[in-house]
Amino acid sequence: MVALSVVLTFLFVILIDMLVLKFQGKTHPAFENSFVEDTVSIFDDAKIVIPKNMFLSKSHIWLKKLSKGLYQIGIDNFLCKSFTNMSFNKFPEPGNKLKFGDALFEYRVGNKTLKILSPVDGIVSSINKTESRDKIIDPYSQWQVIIQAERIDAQNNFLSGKKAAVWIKEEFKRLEDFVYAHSGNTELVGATMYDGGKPVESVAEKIIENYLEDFEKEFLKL
Amino acid sequence: MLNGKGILFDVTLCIGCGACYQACKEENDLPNTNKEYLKDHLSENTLTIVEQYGDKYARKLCMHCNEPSCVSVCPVGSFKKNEFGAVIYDKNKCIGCRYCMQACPHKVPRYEWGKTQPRVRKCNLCSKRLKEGKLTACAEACPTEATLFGDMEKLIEVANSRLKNNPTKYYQHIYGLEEAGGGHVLVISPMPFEQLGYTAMLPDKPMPELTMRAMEKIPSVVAAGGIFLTTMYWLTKRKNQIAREEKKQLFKSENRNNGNKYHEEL
Amino acid sequence: MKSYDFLKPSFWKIISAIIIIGGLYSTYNRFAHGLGASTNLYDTGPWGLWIGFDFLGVGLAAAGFTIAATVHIFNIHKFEPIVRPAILTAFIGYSLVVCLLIVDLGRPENFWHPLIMWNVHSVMFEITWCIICYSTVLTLEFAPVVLEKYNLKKPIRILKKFSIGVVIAGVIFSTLHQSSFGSLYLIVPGRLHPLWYSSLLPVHFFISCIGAGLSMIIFESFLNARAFNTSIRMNILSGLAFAILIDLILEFILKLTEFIAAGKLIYLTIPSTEAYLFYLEVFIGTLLPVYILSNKKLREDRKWLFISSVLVISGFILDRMNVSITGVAASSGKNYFPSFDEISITLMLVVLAILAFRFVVKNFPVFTGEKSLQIIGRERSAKNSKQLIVSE
Repeated sequence: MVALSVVLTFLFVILIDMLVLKFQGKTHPAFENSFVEDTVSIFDDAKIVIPKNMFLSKSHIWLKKLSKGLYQIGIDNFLCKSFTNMSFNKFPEPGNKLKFGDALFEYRVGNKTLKILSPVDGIVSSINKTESRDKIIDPYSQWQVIIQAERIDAQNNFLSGKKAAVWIKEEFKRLEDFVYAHSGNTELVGATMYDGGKPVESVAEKIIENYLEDFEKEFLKL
Repeated sequence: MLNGKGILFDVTLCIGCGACYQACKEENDLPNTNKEYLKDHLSENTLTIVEQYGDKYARKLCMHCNEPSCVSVCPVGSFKKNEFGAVIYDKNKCIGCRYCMQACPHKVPRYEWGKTQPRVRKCNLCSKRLKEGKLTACAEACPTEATLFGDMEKLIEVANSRLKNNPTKYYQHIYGLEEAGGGHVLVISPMPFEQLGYTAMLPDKPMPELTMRAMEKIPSVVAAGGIFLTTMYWLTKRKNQIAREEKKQLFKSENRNNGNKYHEEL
Repeated sequence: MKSYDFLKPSFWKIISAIIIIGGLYSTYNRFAHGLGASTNLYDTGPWGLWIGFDFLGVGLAAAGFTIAATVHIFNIHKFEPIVRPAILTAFIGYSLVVCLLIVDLGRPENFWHPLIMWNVHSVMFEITWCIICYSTVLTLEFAPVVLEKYNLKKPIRILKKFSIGVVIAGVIFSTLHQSSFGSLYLIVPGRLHPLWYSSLLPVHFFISCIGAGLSMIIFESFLNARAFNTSIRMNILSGLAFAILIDLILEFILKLTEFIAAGKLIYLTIPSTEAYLFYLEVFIGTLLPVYILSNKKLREDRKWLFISSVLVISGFILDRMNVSITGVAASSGKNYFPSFDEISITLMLVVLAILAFRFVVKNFPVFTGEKSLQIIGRERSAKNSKQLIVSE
């Protein structure tokens, strides 16, 4: 009986608290309707539209077939979204041979560099000099490199269509985890990044920047 | 095997006169608690009782176990066994956690609930009298020798011979010899003991063994836990470190090799 | 003006004030007139509500060591943001337990005796020492939070050097005394009802405290969100929920195999208060939450997460109360129900614990992520720009 009374008291208090909240015109945080926002993504416009005929690699670049053996390469919206103030650092020389896992190009983020790995073996055919590379508005239409690939193992290393969209979504979720996990270190980040349940983008970016090595390890592996 | 003094209570001899009850009260300076002594209960002011079951009478008191639960469980060692085999209590050590009362298989210890500096109360086998070479007060008062005081070896002998010589008169068991590891108070009776209100179904092994089995494992938990956690910490830390260093190494060497070329192109 | 905010009356403040006044009166009663006058405890039932709540306080504080181990020893840094709340919970839980113990002890003025009067065979002795040691560990673990506030960097650096040793010691002490609360009852096979008595009691206590402790963290996160309008970190909480799920399943399997092996299934078929409460405990605390949490969608839904944490905590309360009160009721021959003083002192201490938690959270960087939310919000709206100042 005592056991039951204690449990009922506990539940009773919760119930009363709900009523008190209702009386005050508030909702208990457990019953707010913001669930969808919370879990889909922390980044505002992370709605993903991945064009057809595009293959995404695990190192967050996309490939688009131009003709037989010739592929356009760019970065995907995940990378684009992770950093807003990055710039291209190094580009391969046309004619250079690239191997799977070599650095395709490098980013400069703050005063650090980030390597984007090539998902294919191939020869660099040309690089895009015309577009202003540092400002990417639509990542899937701005190509960076054209590569002549010897062989594309589409089934293992690439994702396309719905699979790609699901994967990108999951990557965003993982990024959120990553940001949360690294936000604990207050010495580095100082203030934090929450704004009504959503991390403030630029703070998230600051965190990523501070843990660039971890970010590379987590997200840019092939 | 059993040294020290003890009590043998023979139900067949008890006439329910309450002399032991009264003697105990006088010896321990306890106030009267019930007009009808046969209906009294063990309490902080009553350390032994005589209960009536039909035409039989049964005494209840501390069994002075050989390996007492109360001695084992007390966090500060308020209880100990003395040279006579009696379990005695030191009120100066006691913190009042009452684990002894919870743990006692015979539910004997009583508490001075009404006081602000309460003590645990129970029979102490009249240890003060024993030191003077006397019998316990209850045994001395008993007119029929139903309560017999003496050396444990002698008492066991007496009990066994009574059971043997009168197999029809006695239920063939000495209560308190094996129960919960045995103790210094033995009971023989003409009927099964649970019918006389004694705690039945007690294991023969001393109760503290049950705890010891768990307590024994503590050192190994500490050692194994310490080693496991330290190793895990070291491993995961090392893993992270190596990964970080590899990254750095890779980065450096590639920077040196290709860096310049790329820059020209840009 | 702002500092007098806490004087503004609200429903819970009034209730708390009433409870505290009642509790203070009962405390006076307890110490002035003794246990007999203030409690319904009696000779064959010497332990009551207070001991039951000691079990609860320690068990629900278990996240302190599990989370610390996860983050600092297994280096899973995802859970780092909840290390501090977990340690604070543990710290306050243990303070509550110590206060209750002092009230419950017959001779509270002798509470220090175990320090110099040893009986190494006593489970109670071991628990006392573990609690003393673990409280020290918790103090050391939580000290950086306080030091941080006053910007004392040197002591933090010194503490950091020992931190891993401290965490490891904390995990070991916790493992020992969490399970030892179960060992307390090993010596009373005839007293505790066979539905709960088992030679594996220490293991049961250890496993169940982990699930309950983690549920408490989830529950607290919601309380915190409710009190300070902060956000709920679903990613972390869902991760916790998964750990709880595994823990509950493990607990259930262990219980089941133990019931079969010891031939205790028969007790489930005998209708009795004990059996009903046992069913309730297993249903509320294990089966229902396992059903909810095993569904990934529900696990990631804040509503269901909250409900399941309430269920697990309720089941845990039932379990510990059943062991400490229901299970020994039959053998003590009397029906125990706590007195007014027992209840009011318990309520007062619980309220004080909640207030202490609130106070610390409000004044120290505990929920690190969420604490400065309002500041950020203000800065943002003031500057009306995306640029955020990352302050030291």
